[in-house]
Amino acid sequence: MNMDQLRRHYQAGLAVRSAAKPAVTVEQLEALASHRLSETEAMALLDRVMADDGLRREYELLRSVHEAGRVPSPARRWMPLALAASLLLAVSATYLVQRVWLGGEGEMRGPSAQVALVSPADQSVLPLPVTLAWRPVAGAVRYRVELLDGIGEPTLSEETTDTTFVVPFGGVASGMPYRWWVEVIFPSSSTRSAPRTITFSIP
Amino acid sequence: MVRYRRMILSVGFRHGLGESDVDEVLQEVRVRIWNIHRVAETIQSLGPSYVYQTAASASVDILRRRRAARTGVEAVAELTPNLASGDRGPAAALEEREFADRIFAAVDQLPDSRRAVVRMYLAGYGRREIAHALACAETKVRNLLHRGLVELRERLVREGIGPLEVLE
Repeated sequence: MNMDQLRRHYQAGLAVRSAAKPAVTVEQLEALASHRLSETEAMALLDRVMADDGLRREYELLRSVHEAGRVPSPARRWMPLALAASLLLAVSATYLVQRVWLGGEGEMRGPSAQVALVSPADQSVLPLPVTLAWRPVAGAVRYRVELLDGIGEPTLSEETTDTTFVVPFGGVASGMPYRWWVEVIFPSSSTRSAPRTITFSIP
Repeated sequence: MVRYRRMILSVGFRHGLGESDVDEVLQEVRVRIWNIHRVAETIQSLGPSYVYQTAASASVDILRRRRAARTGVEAVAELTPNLASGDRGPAAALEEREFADRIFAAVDQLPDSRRAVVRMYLAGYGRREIAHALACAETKVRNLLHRGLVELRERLVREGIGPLEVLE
């Protein structure tokens, strides 16, 4: 005899086992079906319930009502997926914004931050004098060029209406990396490019 | 309500829950909701949680009423053997009844800690359902069930029933 046959015999026998006076109250069944009992209590009660088909059927009705109440509605079932999709959209949108508005090499192309550094390229090592260049920005009143040393202290901060600036001899050390950026000054606001790094080699 | 009915049946259908039971519960739910709200628009706006709470309470009341209404005659009728022996005759039914009784007796002798799990399994419940009913891990159910079925097999073999292949 295999296990399936044993189960069939057991279930056939169980189907006629139903005490005239149930040994478990409806309140106990309700507590069992709604998971309000400890594991030990549940096990002891289930042992009695499963030995009596009448009780088992009553338990099954209560269990099904409770389980069906816990099954998420279609809207709630799709909620995690909708949240995941929203998150994915948000990440994609952020990525696209970064790609469109912040181009490579620190260029900012948004309507209020259209300053694109032209040269020198990031991480350049060049002998002085070095000419920094950027693209003109519509509506800009002037530009402020800033050069910062390795610990972020401004070494140079100059304003110009031109779109180039020549880093003069003196004031900068040879072989040390500096960061530089251009701040575009509008009549009532300003915006700054992403920084680039440059190292000067002084002959 | 229709969706909820379908969900109840999908949970309980495998274990013998009848449509008439579910319909009785939902009819009770409809009556209760109508008695309280009386306005179709209000009723339509009730959420699934409200329906569930009402159904939970209605099902308990239905069981109480059924038990209270149970007469002595009905109780005796419930005890009358009605084995699924079909047209095999009373002798076969009796033999099957005795055989089932021996299985039940063997199950009754299992330790408390494993008996409920084995009973549920033999009654047709899966490991996941058993774990859910006991609010414990499925691995624990698997262990209890395996040990319980091994012990049951030994008892049944001693009774002359078997050999029994323990699948779990």
